[in-house]
Amino acid sequence: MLLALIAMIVTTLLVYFYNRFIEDRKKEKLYFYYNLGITEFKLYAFIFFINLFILTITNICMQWII
Amino acid sequence: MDYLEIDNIELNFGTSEILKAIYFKAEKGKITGILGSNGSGKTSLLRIIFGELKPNNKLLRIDSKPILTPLYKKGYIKYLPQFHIIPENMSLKNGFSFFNASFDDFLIDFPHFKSQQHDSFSEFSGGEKRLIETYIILKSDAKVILLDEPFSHLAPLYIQKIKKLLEQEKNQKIIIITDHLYRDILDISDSLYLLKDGWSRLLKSSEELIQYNYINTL
Repeated sequence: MLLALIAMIVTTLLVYFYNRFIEDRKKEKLYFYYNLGITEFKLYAFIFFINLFILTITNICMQWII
Repeated sequence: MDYLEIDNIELNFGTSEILKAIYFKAEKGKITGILGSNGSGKTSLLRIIFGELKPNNKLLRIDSKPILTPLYKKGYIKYLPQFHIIPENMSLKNGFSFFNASFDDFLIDFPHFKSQQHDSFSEFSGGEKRLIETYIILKSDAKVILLDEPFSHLAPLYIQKIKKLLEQEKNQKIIIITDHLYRDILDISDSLYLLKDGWSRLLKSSEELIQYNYINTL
């Protein structure tokens, strides 16, 4: 679980840096969220916690199956 | 919220000074137009008001009260940038609900979109996307509306309809608009600013555009 959590944090950061410096340097895709009052930090934090939730559920399911 | 003022802006990109002596005021009940040649800082000024771009210095006030938090974080401002903002995979109807704009009202003005209400944005042309996004931003529940080149790629009839909508919405909102189609901006603006060499000038007549070398003839 700890290893998966670290992998997820690293992946979130990789996605952030990829979007920030390669895919969307002018932040064009973020303006939709800005217009809804959502900051970049809030957006990535939301994605992180959704992934964390999925990871936790998957972990519980796997433990139950095993 | 009746009026918005911004001054003391200093914005540099590298060694070049983009904005240095700006005073700008926009009021509810008036459409405030901004004109300026390419690279004069029109988009930067809108981004600074929106709160997404941080200049070296600025003083933003709403109804004389200084505002330190970026306006977009407060949720009462909407900004239409030059590019498309609605995600390509989002349906037309969902786009309206995200911005609390009425899709039924949109169909009154543009009934031919009824059959496309479940289509995703990727299926619309560039001009149609521009029209939809301008309409959504304009009809949203925001109190301050920033429009950056809303008339670009729009058919003349659509431009007329958007201008009509602007006239209706200006009574409830502070509207700031910029575009290179200066005749349309002159037509709808109640107060007009020209950005030149990092300065802003409040224009009293359209002839001043010639005087400041923005255009050669009206």
